Amino acid sequence: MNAALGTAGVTLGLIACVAGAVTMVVGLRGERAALIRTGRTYAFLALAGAILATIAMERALITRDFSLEFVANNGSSRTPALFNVATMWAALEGSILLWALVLAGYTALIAHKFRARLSDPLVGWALLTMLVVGIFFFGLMLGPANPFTTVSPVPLDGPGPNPLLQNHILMAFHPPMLYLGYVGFTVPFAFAIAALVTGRVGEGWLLATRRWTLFAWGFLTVGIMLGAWWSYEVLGWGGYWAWDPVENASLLPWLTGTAYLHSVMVQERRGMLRVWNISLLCATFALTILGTFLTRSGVIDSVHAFSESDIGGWLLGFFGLIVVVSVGLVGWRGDRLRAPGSMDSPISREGSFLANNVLFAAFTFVVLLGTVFPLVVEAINGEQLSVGVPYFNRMTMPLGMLILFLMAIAPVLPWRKASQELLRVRLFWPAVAATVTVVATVVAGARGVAPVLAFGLGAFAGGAAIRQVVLASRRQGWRGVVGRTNGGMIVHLGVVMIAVGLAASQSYSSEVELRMEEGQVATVDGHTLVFEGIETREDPEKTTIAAQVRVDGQVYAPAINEYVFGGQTIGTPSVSTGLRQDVFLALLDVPEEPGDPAVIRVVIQPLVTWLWIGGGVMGLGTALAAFPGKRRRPTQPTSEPADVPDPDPEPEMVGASA
Amino acid sequence: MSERRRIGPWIAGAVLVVLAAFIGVLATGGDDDGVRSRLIGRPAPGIAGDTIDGASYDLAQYRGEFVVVNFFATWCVPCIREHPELVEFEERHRETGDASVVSVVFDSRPQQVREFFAEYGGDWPVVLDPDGRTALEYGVTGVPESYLLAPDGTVLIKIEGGVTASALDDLLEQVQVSDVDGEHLGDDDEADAS
Amino acid sequence: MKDLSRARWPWILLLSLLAGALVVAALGDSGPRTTAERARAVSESIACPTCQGQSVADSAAPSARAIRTEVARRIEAGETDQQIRDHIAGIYGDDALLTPPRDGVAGLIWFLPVAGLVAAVGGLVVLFRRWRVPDDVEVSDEDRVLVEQARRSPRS
Repeated sequence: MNAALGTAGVTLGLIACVAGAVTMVVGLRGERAALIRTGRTYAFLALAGAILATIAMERALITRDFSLEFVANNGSSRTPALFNVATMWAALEGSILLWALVLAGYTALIAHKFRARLSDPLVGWALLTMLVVGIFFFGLMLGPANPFTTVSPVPLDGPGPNPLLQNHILMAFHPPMLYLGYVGFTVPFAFAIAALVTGRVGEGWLLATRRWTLFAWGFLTVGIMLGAWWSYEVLGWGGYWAWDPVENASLLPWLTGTAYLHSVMVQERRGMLRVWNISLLCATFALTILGTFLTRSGVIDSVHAFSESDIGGWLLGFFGLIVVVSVGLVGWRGDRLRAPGSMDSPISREGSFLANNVLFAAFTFVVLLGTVFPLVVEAINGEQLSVGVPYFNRMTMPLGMLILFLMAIAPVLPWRKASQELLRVRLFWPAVAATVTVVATVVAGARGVAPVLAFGLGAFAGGAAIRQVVLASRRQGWRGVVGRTNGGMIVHLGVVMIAVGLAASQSYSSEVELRMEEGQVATVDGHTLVFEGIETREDPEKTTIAAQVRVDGQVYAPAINEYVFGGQTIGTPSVSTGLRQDVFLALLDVPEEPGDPAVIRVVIQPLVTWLWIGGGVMGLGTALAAFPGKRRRPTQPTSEPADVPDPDPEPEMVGASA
Repeated sequence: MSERRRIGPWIAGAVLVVLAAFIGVLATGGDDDGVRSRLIGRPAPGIAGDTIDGASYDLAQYRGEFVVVNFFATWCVPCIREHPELVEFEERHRETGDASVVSVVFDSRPQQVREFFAEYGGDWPVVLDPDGRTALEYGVTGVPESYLLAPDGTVLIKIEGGVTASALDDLLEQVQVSDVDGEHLGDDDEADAS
Repeated sequence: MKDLSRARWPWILLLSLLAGALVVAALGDSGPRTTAERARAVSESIACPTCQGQSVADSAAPSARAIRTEVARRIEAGETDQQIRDHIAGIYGDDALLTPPRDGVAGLIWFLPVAGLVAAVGGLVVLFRRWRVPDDVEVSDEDRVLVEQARRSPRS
């Protein structure tokens, strides 16, 4: 029943995408507006198919229909209800289904939002591109990643999802967020392809997709941060980012997407960087597919390798197709893309955006190179090597510092050209903030150039962001925090929080492994820990052995879970969270006999919480940036400043910002 | 301007070539090239310690016969699958006396190991490795993992994944017929990781 | 206040304070000195053999704990960090080390990003040189009239 329903949904989705794509091609070639308009219906049909398939899958998971192979392999009668729903994205086939659902949703939204302009070839080609991507994903589900294959004889029960994936509430939100971001980049990509095909490579398509890109980016940001938080809360080593291939796969499109969000402003304002912007969008989309390939094909080892299959060839082929189409189209339209115009000075807003793009491109290159380098070297000379955290930290830290520096300078720079004096005036209070921060942290005992410099640059960038928001709020009231520029500054503040949290927690963490007998007291970094004993709880799916540890008066219970099926043992850390520092507890070993010591790992990291707060602020800032800011008059030339820049800010006011 | 226009297709072409090579690497990469171990042909690291029965074990006393060193864990499904094969192999060679088996416990509690052997059979020394030192010296990267040691105490071969009694017997036969040649044997090994 | 930010001396003061504080921060940074700190640093550069993608320092797996113990034992025995790394690589293979080597083909991983960044910055410098508007362009009255017209026409 569920299998039939699901297969029907997938088939409906595939047929709708194919029929829609054919309709659009015929309509666009023959310029038959009536035919093109029917393309909309197919987009809705594809969404209906995806929803039907998702309902069938969730129904199967919730009712524990083990006749479905996916449920038999990943579901279980012992899994708690919420994780039953989330099991859909705990394995490959279900995540492809989620991907298809989100993609069909975006496609239908585009078809609806642009319904009045569907016969416009630009929109038509964009919709066609999205339908073609839809064909691929629905096709996957009828080919190598079929979520609805049945199994016979029907097993009585299943193993449940990987224990790591049924351990935390964040698992229910992190993947959908990530997919909303990942898949959301299909929209600007589709419009970029449409612009190339139709030759309308001006700024029209940019404006049409501006907010879509912003939302996709915001979802991706929040999704990545939720993923980091999940690792921190679940994986039991006190870390949140391991430069693991799966993490890198989500970071890569984020980096190119971030670069695009900045460089697109140069194109809107000055009409330049057309090839570059289109390339960035194509790269972003291609990287989402490449990332999926890297993590799903088993070609690279990863802690996250929760699911592998022979889907690799398909994804690699699709990646190749995207590359060939994108590069081919850009090469073909290269003459039209060449924009007139030039930049007056590197010390200008557009100059800083260029620098931003160089840094983000370098960052992307480092992450991509580090991820695939073992494969490349093995292909060249058969050498086996690993690339891990030390490499990534060493290479990305200077880039991160430079980006922070740029975040301080760029917001105060005017378009076209800036004088040294203007810079001195506008940067004065941010520079005071930076100096005060550096001196204060050193006086407070912080050592090491890298973290102290990061704090200083963070204050510098934060000061510049606050200055902008304060000035804008003075002038425009509450509108001073909405709109792209001001919302963008809120995002910058979130980035600063994350940067400071990263620098502090990476540089000033301390950890010990304690061997504690019952009743024993230990002091770690000024925190008093008392091991009060072991509590054991039997659940249908697992046995939980929890150590009761009193940290500064409050009891925390890091645990070891022994799962019934397969006997897998997974730790559940427990964290005493604070704005200043976190005390992270993981139970490594439980006493064999009563009276034996338990082994508890204690990690103390300062300012970790600010990573999650910063992620939230970035999400909030993105929403504010998407909110319509002060509108320009449509007749106003784009070369005119959007809001009258402050040629000379009032001194007292600036003082308040620092 | 005409000079600049010609650059476009070249850049596009160069990008395509680089990416094609990249895709080629990705398409061919990732296949495991068999089991590697630095130990092959070298003297096996010593194994000495308590067994689950409370006796003590020392690998050095087993010179002069083949020894299968088996690393296993009670929670590992392939270990459960390979266990009857080890039992069969051990029983067959206990009579001839030319080979013995020793199991080294990997990340499992003694009580669990005792239950494991009670349930699945097998009567040979099972050495505890409480701090993982033995597994470290052998370079164990997963369980089950087995090493075949020659009578002179050198490592002949490393087997990742479950073993079968017949495959072990074949190996013994080959070694006894030809001379000791670990490298060559390494290629014949069919580690069953399923 | 305005004059304060325009003058040079406040900037000189800020920069010297900054430099001084950074020097203190740099001098105070002793690097990993104690056995525990060194053990942590070495463990961070060794891959956990049984859990792909994590370092020995970050993993709770028993094999990682065994290696941590071994690293600490060898530090106590007076070995250098590199000797310990080489020893572990000798057991588990070169891919047990998370920091790629700096020579040979593998060294490219360090070189390529730096070369790329330098090339990109160099390219930008060349571009800005090319873009630089010659200083001797004079705005004629005719131009001013054109601009005025362009600015006015949509509003009227």
